[in-house]
Amino acid sequence: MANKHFAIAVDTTRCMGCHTCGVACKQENNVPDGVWWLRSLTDGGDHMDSPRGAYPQNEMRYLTLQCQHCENPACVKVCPVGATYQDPETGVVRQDYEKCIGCRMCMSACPYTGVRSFNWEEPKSSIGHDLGDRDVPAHQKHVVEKCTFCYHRLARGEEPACVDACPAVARFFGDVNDPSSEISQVLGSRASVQLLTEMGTKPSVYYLV
Amino acid sequence: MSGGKELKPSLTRRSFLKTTGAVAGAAALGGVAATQLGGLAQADEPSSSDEQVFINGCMYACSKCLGEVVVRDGKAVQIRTWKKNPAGERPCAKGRAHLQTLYSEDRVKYPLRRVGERGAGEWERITWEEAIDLIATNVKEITEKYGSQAIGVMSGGNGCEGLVNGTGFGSLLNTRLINAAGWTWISFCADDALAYGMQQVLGGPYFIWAYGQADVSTKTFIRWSSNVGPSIPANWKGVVDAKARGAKLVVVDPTYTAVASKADMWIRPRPGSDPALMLACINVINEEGLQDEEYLIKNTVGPVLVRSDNHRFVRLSDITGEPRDPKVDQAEHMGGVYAAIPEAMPTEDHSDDLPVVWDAATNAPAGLGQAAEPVLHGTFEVNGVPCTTSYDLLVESVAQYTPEYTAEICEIEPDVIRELARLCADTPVIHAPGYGSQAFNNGLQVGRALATLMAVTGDLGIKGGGSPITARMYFNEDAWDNRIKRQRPVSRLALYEAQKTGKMGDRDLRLHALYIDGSGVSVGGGVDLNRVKEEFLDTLDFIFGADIAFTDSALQCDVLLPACHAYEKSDITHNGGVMLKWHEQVIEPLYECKPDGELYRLLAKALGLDEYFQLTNDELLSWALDSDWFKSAGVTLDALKEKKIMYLPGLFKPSLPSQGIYETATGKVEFYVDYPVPRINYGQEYDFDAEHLPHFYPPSEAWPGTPEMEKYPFVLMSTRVHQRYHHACFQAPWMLETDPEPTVRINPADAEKKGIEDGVYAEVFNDRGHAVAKVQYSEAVRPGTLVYPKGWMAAQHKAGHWSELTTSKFDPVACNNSYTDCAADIRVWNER
Repeated sequence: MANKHFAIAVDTTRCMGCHTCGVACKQENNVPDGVWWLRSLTDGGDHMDSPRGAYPQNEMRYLTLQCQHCENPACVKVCPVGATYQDPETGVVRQDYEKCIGCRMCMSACPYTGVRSFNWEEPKSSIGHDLGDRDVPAHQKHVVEKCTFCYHRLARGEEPACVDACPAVARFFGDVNDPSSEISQVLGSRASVQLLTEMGTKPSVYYLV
Repeated sequence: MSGGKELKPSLTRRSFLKTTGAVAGAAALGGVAATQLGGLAQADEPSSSDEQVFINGCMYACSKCLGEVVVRDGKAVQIRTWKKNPAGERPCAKGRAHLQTLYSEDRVKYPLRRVGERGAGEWERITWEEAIDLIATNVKEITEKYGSQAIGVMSGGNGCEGLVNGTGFGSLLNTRLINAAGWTWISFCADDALAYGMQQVLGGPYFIWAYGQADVSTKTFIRWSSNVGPSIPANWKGVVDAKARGAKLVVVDPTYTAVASKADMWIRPRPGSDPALMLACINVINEEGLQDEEYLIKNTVGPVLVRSDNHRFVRLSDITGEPRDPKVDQAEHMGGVYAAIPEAMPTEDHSDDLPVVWDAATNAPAGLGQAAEPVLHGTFEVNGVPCTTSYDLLVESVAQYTPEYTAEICEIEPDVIRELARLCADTPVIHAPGYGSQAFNNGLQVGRALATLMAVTGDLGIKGGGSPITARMYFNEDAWDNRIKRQRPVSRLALYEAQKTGKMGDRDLRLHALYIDGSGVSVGGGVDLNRVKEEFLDTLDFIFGADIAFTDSALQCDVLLPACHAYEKSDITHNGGVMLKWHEQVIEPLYECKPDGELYRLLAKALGLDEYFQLTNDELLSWALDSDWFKSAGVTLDALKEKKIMYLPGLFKPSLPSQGIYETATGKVEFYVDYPVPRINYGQEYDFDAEHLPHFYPPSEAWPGTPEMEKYPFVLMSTRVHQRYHHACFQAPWMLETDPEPTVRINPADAEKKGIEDGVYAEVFNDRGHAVAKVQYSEAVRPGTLVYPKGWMAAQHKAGHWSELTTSKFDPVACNNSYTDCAADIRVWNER
């Protein structure tokens, strides 16, 4: 049986930049305060929710940005201890907190600035108790962390938390090696773009336009 | 498969760091056993013994979305999408951040007594017994001295709209308490201009009119000053779904909002000029013969004759010589109040002295509904008085609003106006108004003109057309208080008069106490904050209230009670007239917080009103659900508790309007109002003659040439954002991480002219007050306006508060807060 290649497609004609996916991810994965594995970025003016162009010739859309789970990941190449690795069965780029020595080479190598974060201090939550799914690995000081495609959910046959959280129903997830999957259908019938394709990382995140 | 096209070069590595607002944290997270997953091996099913799932969510007025709240080891750890939600709801970021409000260290945890100045936030912790005793003692004292009406109540926690444990206007238990105690119910006057304007024309209970529902036949969606997305996030999906189906999206808004970015046509009226635009559409429609005459004759007062001498409907009594029915000359038939408070409906007060139309079949006048061929046009003589059809009078009144004339008022090209008008006439059209344009002092006319526009185009009661604000929910209204005299509310805006003179219009009224029943709009969310403090709060001997957090309102209390969070109580909510929901309690109340229902019962007992509170919550809820309508849908309390959501759209097909039934005094769409009355009538002056038809007049302040605009040249308008529902979530760390502090958005060209750089702190000010905020350049902002994200508390500003700047001037008919009718200026803030 062929390996899976999980990917996400974000429909930018539907996304309203509401941060629900990012907040759902924070909850699901017990992400520490101040850290975001998934962010809603405004593709427009300099500030969040501001457009480009001089009023009223305006244009704006939103892009959500998380680890792109690249097929040719720059981070994996530079990790000296193999803490960052590509799961051969799913294509998911994973991070082993136990192996990570906190050198942060992966953060330099990754062209998608900000999708990886480093815990300089003990990871802190404002609420005072752990949140999210019971199967989420504990966060650790002095390691790098990032989107896991909710690997703990994939292991149960579920999709990532950001996907079913989206109030705009703008996110699709699935195996692009399977031509009958919803995401394959969507990518086959809609125009899409990807980020920084010239870097050769072959990201697994698509933006429908 | 993958598109080869790269995104615009503006996106670089550096760009991806924008807009995080992320702040590094520091401190220990509680340890938890790490779980390693290898490959795709099936993880063991999580043990169900220490993990439970409850269906709960928000109680905000937007959509009250329900999700699955997961509890582990007695603590709520997550709210996630409930995959089996019958309405497909997905809690938004704000709804998910609600979890942080639940566990916030800054919650109101215990009953408190104020020890410092009002607003200083200095408290002494007391017990519940002491608190209730203090409140009861003060209430009794004031009642003895001044009467029960001297205690005013501002309900309206839109963050808490449950039926028994809610503080929403018209919840079961607070209504019961207020009426039983004889306290004065204060209408908080927000978003009422749109609602009342629509209600005057379309009838029905308040905020419920001519239910419209989009479907695949809907050709065009017109969003009138509606910032859907940041506001009412759950409705965004419908917008993009419709676009995907090929429907046209028109957005009318001076600001480039998220929904404007999706629009096929973005129309940008001068702020406050929307009613003129609507009247111009009616003008063009009539000029081009696009009006739906069949609909107008059958369903509206269009054919009704109006006397030229007094501008009132001709009545049968004018012809028969019988005595005129007093019901046609009185102000009793008015609604104008939120939600489920039962009111006498216009149709209950129906007069038999019918309005008169001209019957072409007999060439004589006849009663409305009694003519074989009522005519829509013409002037006829009745008793020697020339009388013209209402429709002709409407056409005459909008004649001046030609596209060219209106272009000057609205700053919109004449051809754009024509195009909009033609789109309106090409039904079915869904008109979705927000609350932006109605927050000017001419806002009533937004509701009047929009309802009239839909009448002229025959867009009401048709499949795929109308205005989908909400619809009727047929509770058994006896459950509210079938033995107690029901009160009509007083206008918050008219209280200044009462506090100074002891009279509100022709009614004796002077408040000495205020009960802030979970209402954010009572202080920080109102208008003219400095005046609120000086001329209202400072005149009160005693203020008590309940809240979850130390909001601007809570800080004004002398006794403050700790209220439960939505997850700490169970309740019924209803949404949009099509859904009943059951919210399951998730955890036991933290600290000493109590559900609001229990609070009302404690107060009732202490005040000797126990007899009205003998029924349990479940008994009251069952009673409320005990109506024919609910029975026909199989709704019982047990069924609802089991299903969590009972989705009942089928009961609305066919809707009343689709059967030609309108709950107005005449039973028709009253674009001409025979006896116009204020939303809340206390004997105030208003221009009776002007209020028969929709008309345009500029906003009081935010308009070129006013004395205020001469001094303060910007129109200051609020905006909703993704991080707060009104002020809810104002302290939630996840929300603060993407919107950390008060900001003001300004068009860069305006800012550069004033020498204000992007990112500096600025003071926005006028004669009434000021607010300091961080400047953000934004090309979304129409030059000449300033836009501020709302929902901040005073403590979060370096100085001032947005609500200091807004006016307490109000339109006497709408009795509404005119939040956006505000002139302001801006300068760099050099202090710390």
